[in-house]
Amino acid sequence: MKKIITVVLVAILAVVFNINKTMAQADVTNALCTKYIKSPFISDGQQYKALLNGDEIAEFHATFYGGTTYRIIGATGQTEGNLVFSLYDKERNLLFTNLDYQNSPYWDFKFTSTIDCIIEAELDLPAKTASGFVIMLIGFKQ
Amino acid sequence: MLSNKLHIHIKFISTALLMAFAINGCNPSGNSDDNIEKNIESKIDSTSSTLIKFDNTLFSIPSPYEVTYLIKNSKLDFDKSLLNPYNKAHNYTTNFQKALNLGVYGANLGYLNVFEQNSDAIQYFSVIKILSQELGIENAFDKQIVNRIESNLGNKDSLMFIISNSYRKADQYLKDNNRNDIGVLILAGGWIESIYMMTQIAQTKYNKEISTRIGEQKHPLDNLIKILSPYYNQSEEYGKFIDALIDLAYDFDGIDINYIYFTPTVDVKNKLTVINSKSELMMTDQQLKTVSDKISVIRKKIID
Repeated sequence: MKKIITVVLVAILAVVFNINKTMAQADVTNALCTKYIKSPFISDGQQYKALLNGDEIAEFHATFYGGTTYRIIGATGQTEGNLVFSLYDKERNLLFTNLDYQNSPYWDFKFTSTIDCIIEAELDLPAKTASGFVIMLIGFKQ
Repeated sequence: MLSNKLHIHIKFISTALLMAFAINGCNPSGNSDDNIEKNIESKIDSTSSTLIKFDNTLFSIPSPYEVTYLIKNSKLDFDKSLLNPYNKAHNYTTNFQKALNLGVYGANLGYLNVFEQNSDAIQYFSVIKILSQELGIENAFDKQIVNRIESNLGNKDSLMFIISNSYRKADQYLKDNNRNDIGVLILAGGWIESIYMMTQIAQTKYNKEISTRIGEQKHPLDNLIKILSPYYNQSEEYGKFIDALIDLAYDFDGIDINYIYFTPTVDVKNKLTVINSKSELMMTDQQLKTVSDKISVIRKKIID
């Protein structure tokens, strides 16, 4: 009986603390992103979130209008610099990767023409077995 | 003896659980900051996650506010007849209707805001607040937001920032709380309304930029269908709505877009990359008319 109670207790505590950890991570990651959506940038009204394991890649399909400047923001975990995001056109030409700029949490893009793009996001954490929520935001300015 | 031990174990488990839930209940980010943005963020529960996810693929829908800026920058006059009258809001009784029209009214509010129609903007915001309450997402449009909007009337850029952030928070809340079936309808309503406004303008006064922007909706429409499609069988109204969008997408398929890649230029100091690639849209007047007519029909079904 004692063993069963101990196992149940440990399991319940593990679930509760895991929820707490997940909540904390999502809230902190969210705050890391939202601080870069500031005037003159306006949110596109959506929040993009994916749960990635290890070397999984999330894809975000987006259309960017010509004549507009966009800000793409991405984060995972509780600190900046743990996320690699790259922008490709529909022919898979690489247009940008933040890997070239110390995994910068945000970057601005001025589009001279309307283009359909794919944003790829992947974790850049020391342990390749790690997992985490990726949050990305898109803002625009005229 | 056994029952005594069991009693002690139960007491111990209860105490541990209470402590665990107490710790869990603490906001890890704290709540001492009186910044309104952070207060609103903390009210939105993000403990669970449901993703718009298809093998780790997510789809973005352009903001309706981008369209309203385009209309304003095209030196076109304000036209109130383009809007869905705010007093029709009480006709919307189902969550399906409320969510779609919350998106519609959001696009209308953006249009009113860029043309600085402040008294009408207040009416539309009131309706948005009521619909969001009825949909259970009132935290995204709470009293603090109302106060901020009132104090920023006349400052259209600040107002647009506040409104778009409120819609983003509503989107976040709905995704986090396994209610994305409502979230995608809000996005869809906003998209339809913004395209409807452009098609009406294009029919009355030729404007190349606006006509081109309509044709450029080919891929955003595909993305919209992809984010709606998981809910096709949720109800008959979802199915019919998605069928209408698929029918519209067939007409968009006939519009060609030529694309040429050019190397981007980077301004590292300002963290800015200029995307120099070019696209050229080829759309006939007949295609524009067909698309416009179908958008009108879809929009009529949403607002009536």
